[in-house]
Amino acid sequence: MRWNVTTRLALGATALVLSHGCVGVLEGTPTWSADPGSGSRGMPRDPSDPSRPPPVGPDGALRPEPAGLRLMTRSQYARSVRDVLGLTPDDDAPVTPVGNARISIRAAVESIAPSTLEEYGDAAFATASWVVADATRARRILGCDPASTGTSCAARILDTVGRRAFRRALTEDERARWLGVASSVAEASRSPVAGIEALVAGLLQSPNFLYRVEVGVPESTSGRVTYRGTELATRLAYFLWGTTPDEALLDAAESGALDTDAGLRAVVDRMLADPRTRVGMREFVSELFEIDALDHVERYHPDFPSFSEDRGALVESFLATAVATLEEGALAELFSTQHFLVDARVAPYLGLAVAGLRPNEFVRRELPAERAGLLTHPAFLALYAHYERKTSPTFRGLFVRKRILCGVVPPPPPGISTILPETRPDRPMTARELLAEHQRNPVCASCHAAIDPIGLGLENFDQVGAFRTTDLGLPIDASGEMEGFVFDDAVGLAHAITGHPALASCLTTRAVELAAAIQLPTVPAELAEARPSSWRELALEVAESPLFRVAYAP
Amino acid sequence: MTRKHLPRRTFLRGVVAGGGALSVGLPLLEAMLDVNGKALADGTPLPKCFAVWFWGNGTIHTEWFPRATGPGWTPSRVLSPIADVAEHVHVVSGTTLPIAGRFNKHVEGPAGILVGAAPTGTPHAEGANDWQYLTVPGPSIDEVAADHLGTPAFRSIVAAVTPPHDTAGGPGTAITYGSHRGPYAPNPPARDPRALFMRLFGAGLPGGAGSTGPDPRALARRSVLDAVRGDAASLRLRLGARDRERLDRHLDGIRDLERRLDGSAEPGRATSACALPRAEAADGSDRERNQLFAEITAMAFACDLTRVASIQFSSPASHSPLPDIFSASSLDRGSFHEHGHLRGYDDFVVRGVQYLTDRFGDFVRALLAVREGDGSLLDRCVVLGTSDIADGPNHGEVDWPLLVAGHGGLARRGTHVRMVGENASRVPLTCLRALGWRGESWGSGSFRVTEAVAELLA
Repeated sequence: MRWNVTTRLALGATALVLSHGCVGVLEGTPTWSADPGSGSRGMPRDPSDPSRPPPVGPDGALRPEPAGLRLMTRSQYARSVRDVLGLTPDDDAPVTPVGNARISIRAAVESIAPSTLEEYGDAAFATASWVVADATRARRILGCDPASTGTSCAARILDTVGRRAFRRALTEDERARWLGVASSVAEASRSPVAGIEALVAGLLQSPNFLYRVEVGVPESTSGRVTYRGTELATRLAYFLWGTTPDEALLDAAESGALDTDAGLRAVVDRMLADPRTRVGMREFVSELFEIDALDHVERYHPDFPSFSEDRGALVESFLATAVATLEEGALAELFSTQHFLVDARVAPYLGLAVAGLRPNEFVRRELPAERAGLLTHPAFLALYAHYERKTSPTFRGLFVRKRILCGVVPPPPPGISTILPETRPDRPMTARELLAEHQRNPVCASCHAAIDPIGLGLENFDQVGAFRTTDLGLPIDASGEMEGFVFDDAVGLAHAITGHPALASCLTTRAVELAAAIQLPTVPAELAEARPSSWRELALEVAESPLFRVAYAP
Repeated sequence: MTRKHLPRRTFLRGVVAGGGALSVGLPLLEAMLDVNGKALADGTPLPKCFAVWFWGNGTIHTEWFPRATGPGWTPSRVLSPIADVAEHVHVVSGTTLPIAGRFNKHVEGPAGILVGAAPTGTPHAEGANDWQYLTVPGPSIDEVAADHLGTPAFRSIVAAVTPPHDTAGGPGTAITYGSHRGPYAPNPPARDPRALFMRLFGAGLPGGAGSTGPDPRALARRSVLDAVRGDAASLRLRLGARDRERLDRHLDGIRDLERRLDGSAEPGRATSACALPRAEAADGSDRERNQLFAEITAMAFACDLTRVASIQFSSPASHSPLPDIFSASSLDRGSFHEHGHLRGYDDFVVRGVQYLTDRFGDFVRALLAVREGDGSLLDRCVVLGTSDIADGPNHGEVDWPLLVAGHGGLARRGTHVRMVGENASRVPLTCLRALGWRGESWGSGSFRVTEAVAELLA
């Protein structure tokens, strides 16, 4: 079945929004209210909350404040250190992820703890020691001989490593300050190499490296600031490559290449042609599904006793599949692809033969008929479960409704217990029967009608994502309906999601959250018309959006 | 447990420090206690110490507390594992934590009991299970205590034994962390006892006896931190208020590091009990790692490297399967949380809460084992043991589990106070009062209290 015309018209081009209490489930278009205390977002704005969504102007348009200090996420940190030093994959430098934030919106609000600061310091000195420990290696990486006397090597490092670390050229003050570090340490320890080591370690601890500084350039009197030059290049680099801008990108930014729409487009196209864009794809999908969190999730299953050892492979399979899918074509295929990249650890979860597979070598395999798309990947299905041995149709459905389709779902009314009755050994019930309470009680049903049917469509997959046709010995009914689209099972659900009119604008919204660190509970008006069908179109949609390029002084 | 007393030279040289070494303030090993062990010989009182020991998913609210009230309590079934230290543990039962029930209780509970406030919701936090978007509005009790007690070499110890509850990665911090400096400013816990040992005890003191001159590494670090401070000062001018606050927190951390490098940290007032703790766990079990964190904390207190600790045995909701007591091969294996929901007050839950109580007991025993004068380290410490909800099977907030160990400003003999319907926040306030904190009140909104539990105070 295809999306029927009336559903399309009724929904228009907008995300589904559930009102307070969800009475009348399909209610209108998302609106951004200028009044922070009202609107459809379920909670008054707390002005003291640093992660609040952006204010709204009198015209209803978002007025995000400058992003300011953006900590690197753990993975961005490790890649950035390597790229600042220009390391190759063969370099066995002791660079590991450091920091506390795994997703961009947290990294934009979180403070560095004292203990984390020590870790940054230790990591920077360990890396710098590694760089200078071998004279040949040091000359290759630094472009000069660290044992030479005088300031010429340090000055050169500031032009190369320093510029990449700060993502811009250093100011005169900064140059003087850091040359002072190199020379004073060299003098006191009577070792030029020690001076260079301190300089390299220091640049990697500067706030100008640990934070991406995005304050923008003020326009005359409007209160608007625009991200330009190297700041805009930095935004692009972390969004599209998941790392710091390289020298060519900084050169282009300094030459004004990003100042025009055409120039920006050309630079984005060049960046998308670079293999590093796979990292950008990977980070986007990783943050969208928050899939890294599987790291410390426990699930118990008699057939998969090694789940906790397989988690890493499941995440890798999930992300490698996502990247391969995005590289090949349509954005929506993330939710309908017929192929996963699997290794020997992952295949059994999919019911695929292990023959010919090895651990940690991921190869493309066609999926069994009961699966389609990333929502049927065991990494997702295991992460969005409830207890260690139970699925959660509500969590899975809520994820799809909110995160993938940008629907707004208010909290259960105060005083309502959200704990479902438990199945008893003498009277087993399927999840559908347990959740029937949600449908019987009109207070629950008004919201859960938009959540549970999606999750129940995935009930053929258990708490580790293995396929099943029964639960507690009872047959599973995975059929359902979503905005008029009737489906029989997870594959039908995959088609409903792939064709959902809210999907493309919602994925664009999620990409803006990552790229611009603006929290967006639902699709803002600025992105309501966004219909990217590929990674390239998504990238351009974000890069050209005012939400990515403009902010407003608070 | 035997402990080798710390030879001065060994300490000064430090043990092997991987990567970069940081010096720690030199404990005053020559300082002797007065005859009672209550003060240093020169009359300076020994600093008080404070620890939070937290576990997830509560207790059995109807029966965890002793039957009789008053000093010399007889343990209930739940508290039986700590009968041996009952003399040193105060029990406050009957209280209710006044949470609003607006969000998930596993988020509201820890914020309520440890921060004295409701978690801060954002418009993203639209569902009861949107804990990943919730943070706390202010500092947790350990941070308040650290401000009050002062920072010798390290502000505090923050450690966690079982994996965090962090099933999604939104910007919230309330479900995952037990220690917070403010909103979105969590203190991430050490998870590896050896890493914590190295941080606290892993470095020598440059320029101290037995060393051959200035430590070039410390010199380089000082020089780098100077420049970092310079960069931050220029950067600060370009930032809005919110980011200035974040950068100021960053600079607070820099200042701590500098004070240690300079030796300008408040001089530690170590007692003669100060010795190197064990660094290596005998095995990887939760029990052993908790024990090691306890021993390291005890010695960090005795050596006055820090005066505050926050140990999270299990995070809110406790998705730990408690593998020490339940077999991995059993199909019945599930988390402590799951069993509470699915099985009610069955044998698993009883054994689980007994096991958790015993781990709290291990922490108390480790402090008790450090002898100072004619008493123990516990005589000057306050340890708050509590959880995120009152009870696993009913997920309620009535009869909140509250254990307060130690005698720092507290009664000499462990007592049981039952105060039905009273605000549970009075117990965190009582801990702060015992430490000599003079703030007007603790907590905000429904959590705000001004009156400590008088029976507990010395």
